Amino acid sequence: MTINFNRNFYNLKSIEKAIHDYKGLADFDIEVGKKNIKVDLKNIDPESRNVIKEEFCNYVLGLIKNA
Amino acid sequence: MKSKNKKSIKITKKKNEIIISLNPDVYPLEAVYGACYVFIDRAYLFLNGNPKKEIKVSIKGKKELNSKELEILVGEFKNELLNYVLRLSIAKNTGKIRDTIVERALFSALSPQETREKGVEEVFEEDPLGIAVPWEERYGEKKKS
Repeated sequence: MTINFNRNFYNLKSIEKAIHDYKGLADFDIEVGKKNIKVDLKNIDPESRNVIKEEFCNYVLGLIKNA
Repeated sequence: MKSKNKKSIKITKKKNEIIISLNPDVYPLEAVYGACYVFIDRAYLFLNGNPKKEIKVSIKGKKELNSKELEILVGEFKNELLNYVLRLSIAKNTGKIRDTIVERALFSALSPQETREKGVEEVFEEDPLGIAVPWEERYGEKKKS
């Protein structure tokens, strides 16, 4: 499962913090590009598989607003 | 040629998801972040696009929503956007006066000792207009003569 965060809206610091907070639910890989930050999720906890992507994006957005 | 009549909001409907395209000249990014934050517990939100040309906000229901419910959700989101735009506008227009009020409030809360330490008293003592002449100095001599 991959999420592409547009760097114009999302910052690396918030994404890294979110990964740190979500590390118990999946294995995360991060690749920083010029325009996007690509986050790859593997070995996702079966119970959160259906919602982890959207919840993770919301969490990052919340961190940005509170930064 | 670029169209001058750029729409401020465009809507694309998908299953349980609506993508709103916003004109950043009307809806600044800060207002979009604010409105998204208010809706975080009700919907899944994702931002994309170009913050200088077109901001795309994807709004997805946390539970399965029918078309009408989704439209209501988006309507409320648009209202929240306007609320944030107004807030930002008021903050911008009243920023200077707000700072002055806070500055004065903090200044009046200083103790006499703190005032002396900060050298505020010395500023008063400078008397650049020459109006702080004691009564005795100004009128005392006249009475004697």
